[in-house]
Amino acid sequence: MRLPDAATLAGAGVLIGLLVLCGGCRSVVPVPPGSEEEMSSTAPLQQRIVVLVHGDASYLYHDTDGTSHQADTETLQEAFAAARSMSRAEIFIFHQRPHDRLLGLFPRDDGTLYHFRRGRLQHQRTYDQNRERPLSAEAALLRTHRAAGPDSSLFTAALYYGHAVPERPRPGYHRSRPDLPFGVPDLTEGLERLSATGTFDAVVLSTCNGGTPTTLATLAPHTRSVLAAPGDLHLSYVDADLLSTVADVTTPSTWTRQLAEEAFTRLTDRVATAVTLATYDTDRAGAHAQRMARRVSPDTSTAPTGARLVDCRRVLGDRVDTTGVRAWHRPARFGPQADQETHSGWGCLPEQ
Amino acid sequence: MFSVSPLPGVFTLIVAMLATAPTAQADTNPHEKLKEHVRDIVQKVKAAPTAAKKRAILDEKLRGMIKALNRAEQMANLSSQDQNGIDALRTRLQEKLDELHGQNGYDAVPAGQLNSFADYVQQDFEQANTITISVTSALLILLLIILLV
Repeated sequence: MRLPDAATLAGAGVLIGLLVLCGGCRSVVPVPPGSEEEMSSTAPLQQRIVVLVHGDASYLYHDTDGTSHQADTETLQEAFAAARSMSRAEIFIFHQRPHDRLLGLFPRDDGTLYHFRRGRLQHQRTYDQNRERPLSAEAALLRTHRAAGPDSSLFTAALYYGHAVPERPRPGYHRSRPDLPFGVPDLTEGLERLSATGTFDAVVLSTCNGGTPTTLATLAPHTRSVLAAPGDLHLSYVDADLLSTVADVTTPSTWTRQLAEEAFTRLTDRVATAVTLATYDTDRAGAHAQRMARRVSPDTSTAPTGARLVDCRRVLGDRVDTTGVRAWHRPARFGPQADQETHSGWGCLPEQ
Repeated sequence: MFSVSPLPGVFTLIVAMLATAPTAQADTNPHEKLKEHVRDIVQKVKAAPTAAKKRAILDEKLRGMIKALNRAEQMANLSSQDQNGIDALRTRLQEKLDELHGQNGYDAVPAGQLNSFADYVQQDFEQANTITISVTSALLILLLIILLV
């Protein structure tokens, strides 16, 4: 058999290299080019926002005419649009993609960072997630690239987009690494890593079932205000482009409230399922979140069951404390909770 | 005479197939196929000419999906996680069936609201944690739905 000559081998090498590069680029969502006008701001920064978009699961949904949407990709596009228009913000957008191996052998980067400052894309790069220490890779990138100046001089917020984060860590959350447990304590630790001070001014959980007493009790020490859904949240999420509508707001409770109002209006226009959003001022709501968390059934199942949460008032009655909580609720047009016109803002597992 | 060695071509083909294999796998993700199946049902309901026809399609498809879940349980040794996921999904599907026909405490969905109800079925299915069913079980359910519905 005749062996290939040097030129042939070199050609094959170049081809393999290209395939490796293309493979590494796959699933990286491109940022549309911005205009020069958007990139001319020199105003001092007043916000630092971290947007975390989980993409390691099925995020397909359809609108009413049957058009397909990928929730994670769409959220990235919305976040890019907001970041382009926010001249006084620094925005880190992380896309957590599925773990993947080239040729089934070589691990490839499974995260993408998009870093904007004053409307301009500063960095776009892939990185390797460290799922054993959630958000540690993202925190390292944030430390490397963020603008000089302490967090205390800026309004800081983190937004998490994904499926419901289990109250207690359990496997199955990451489709490509189903063995790894993940839950609210892991997310909270990750958020702590991301913040230089260990505390954000605001946290948004754009997920199902974020507004539970246990979740809020866990998050409360690490943020001043939370926006979350105490039940199901349609995969079209809290639109990330709405960040631009609160670009000048630096008061945590006002920021979450305005974002909730805008998101609620959009969600109620496009879905027939229930829309419930709530904001929680943690200095007031944190303590009674802890008290209620001790009274409700702990979510100890080994798997998220997809069970619908109910208003905690149906479980705890008048022991539900809504101090520091504001809720926006439109019941589902159909289904078992279609007649529920109000919501306390707290979601609990129904009593068995 | 210019001779070409077949080796680089074969090598390139193998590398290309291996490199694109995960993409092909992603395209056949059974979770997404299940969502597409529900989308197709909903579009079929909306295209149906009469309320009776819309109701009949929903009835047939919802029953078929429940039947597929039941059959999957019988055929496979499911993990507790998959069992929980299937139970939750079946509960949600049964609720839809009950409401469609006005059973178990529900008022029947009025004829003029069947398209909206179909949207609700799809949105509720997509936001339910079908994520919790493993790829293997989801694939089995998908196959059974194709066979039974």
